[in-house]
Amino acid sequence: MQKDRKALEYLYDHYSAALFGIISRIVPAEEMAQEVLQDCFLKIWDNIKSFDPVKGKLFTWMAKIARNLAIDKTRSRDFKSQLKSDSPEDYSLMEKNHFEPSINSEAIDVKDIVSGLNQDQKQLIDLMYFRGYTQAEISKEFDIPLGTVKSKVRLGMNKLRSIFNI
Amino acid sequence: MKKEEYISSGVLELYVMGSLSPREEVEVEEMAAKYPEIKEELSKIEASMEQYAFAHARKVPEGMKEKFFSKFDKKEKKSPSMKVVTNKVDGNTGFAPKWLVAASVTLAILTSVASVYLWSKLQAVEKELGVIKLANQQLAESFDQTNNELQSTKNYLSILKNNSTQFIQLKGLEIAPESEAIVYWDKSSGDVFLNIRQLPLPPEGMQYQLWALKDGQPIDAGVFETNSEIQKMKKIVGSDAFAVTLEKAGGSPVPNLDALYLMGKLES
Repeated sequence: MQKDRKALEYLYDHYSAALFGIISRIVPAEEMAQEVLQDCFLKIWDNIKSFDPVKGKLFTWMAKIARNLAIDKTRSRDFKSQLKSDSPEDYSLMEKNHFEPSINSEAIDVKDIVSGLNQDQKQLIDLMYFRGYTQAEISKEFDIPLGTVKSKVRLGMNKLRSIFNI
Repeated sequence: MKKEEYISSGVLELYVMGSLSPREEVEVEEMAAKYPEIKEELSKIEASMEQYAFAHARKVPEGMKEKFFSKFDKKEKKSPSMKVVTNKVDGNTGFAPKWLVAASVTLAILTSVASVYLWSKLQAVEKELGVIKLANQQLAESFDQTNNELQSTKNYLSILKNNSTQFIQLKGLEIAPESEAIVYWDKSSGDVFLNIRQLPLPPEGMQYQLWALKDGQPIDAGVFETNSEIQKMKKIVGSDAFAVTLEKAGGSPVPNLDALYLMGKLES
């Protein structure tokens, strides 16, 4: 038991900031985002046995849990009542006001990434990865065909990969 | 669908970003299990999105971790037995459950394994560089040598082609009857080339010297080494015959006729 707790602490120490970054982009209300983060680690813990390393990386799996919990939160009643008092979501405004720079000094600076991606590509990737948009939702919102969504994302991702040297 | 098309379709990217329906997700997982190339591409996309997420990380407010773990400990106290049971069923009670292995592998790749790997890679590259430098040096040397050989061959050819060049065969005298050499002499330019066919190695401190003989007078045409190369000698304006004597190293102003090795007359 003690060992398992240590393991969970390890996960918390290493991944909470990255997961909090995802959650905060979907749930801008600070307190609610914190709540989702805590729920997220409980859920990770409860489901950890169902994680299958053959299928993919641990972080991908955890990020999915975080994203889904955050999206669930946005559909909840207390989120909607909170929204009424806030101004409607403005993507670019949110990026500017809400987020301090990365705390992870080892990670590549966000600015470097943004300069490598064009505005379209970054927005698309962010909407999907950080805000949980499906390709159908993107297609509808931006009035572009499904296939174009795919290829645009692939293009942006290839750029990301060259920035990260992967 | 072909696997290349599948990879380039962008569906793997959407999978990693969690933008596919559960049905589509299953399909991607099946494809990845079937084709190693797809699996590899998938893990690369995952790695970049992980980096992307880390680059967008947000500092978790102070006290969050403590709050979480006090809640966690309370929850665990309530149902500890259940946890043990599940552990046993899954057979994962060993100290390194698979997800923890995955987590530590992620970190290990970022730190120690990566640096060891990079270090050994650097060593290998440096070694390779050393070998390449050496090979390059050897190549340069052999190039120089070949270039020199080419130059002398060209010279030789130009003499041979030249109509005004005379071939004078020098024959061995009493001291070394087996000796033989050929002098190519271009009358118009005065160029003299010497091709030693056979000549005994000179004793230490001694050198062979070529002479031109004009009206009985010896003219110094220079000293030479007894290698097989065709050697360019001093220019000679007029000559009736050529001779080789053994002299002290560096040559003499007058030939030592007691050590006359080769002699050849121009055909008139």
